Amino acid sequence: MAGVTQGGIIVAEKMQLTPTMRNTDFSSVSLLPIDFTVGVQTMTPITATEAILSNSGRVGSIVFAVRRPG
Amino acid sequence: MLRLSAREDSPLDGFNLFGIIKETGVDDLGLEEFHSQYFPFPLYLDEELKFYEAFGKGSIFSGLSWNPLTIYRSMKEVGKRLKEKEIEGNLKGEGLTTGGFLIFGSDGEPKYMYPEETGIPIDEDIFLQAVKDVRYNNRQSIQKEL
Repeated sequence: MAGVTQGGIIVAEKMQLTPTMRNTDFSSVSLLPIDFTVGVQTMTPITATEAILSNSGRVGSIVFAVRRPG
Repeated sequence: MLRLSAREDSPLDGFNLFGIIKETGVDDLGLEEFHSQYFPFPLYLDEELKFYEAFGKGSIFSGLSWNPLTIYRSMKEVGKRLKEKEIEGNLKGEGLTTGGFLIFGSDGEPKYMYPEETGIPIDEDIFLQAVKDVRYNNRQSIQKEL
């Protein structure tokens, strides 16, 4: 089942936020930026909200939660 | 995602990408290769797996048949896709908990999600419809402010 948005765009049900996702408080989630300058180094933690906003483009951002990079 | 971001019609224009990983110190060479060759965007370590919890902490075994032949065929199909895309993979590190994609608006709020389904490639059409909707709403909110 798909939802039609205000702009008349049909977005698939699969893409709708689940209650768990909707209720996640990203300001309380801690993330460690990774520096690849010399090997793999983790930096001072920041909140997910800070990461999201600092990586936002003019329209928004897309986050890829990677299952396994290797 | 890299293919989408590199497309001539720029469907992801206005969006920046970044990634979340579960661990470091397990396969750092693989991580460096992933970052330099396949995902050259900022990466963050989510030690407490909060993003994965938000996705429902799914498992690669969710929805899989227990029929050994079906499992074999699924794995073979994944292997074939990786080979076609010239992606080399390994089995180092935690690879059971699935992830996915999350689209945020410029206000920093999540708008849409695309949970990973093991062995099934991302459906670009439905993903881009969501991107289009976030873009539409962004334009609307800018017009309201003017």
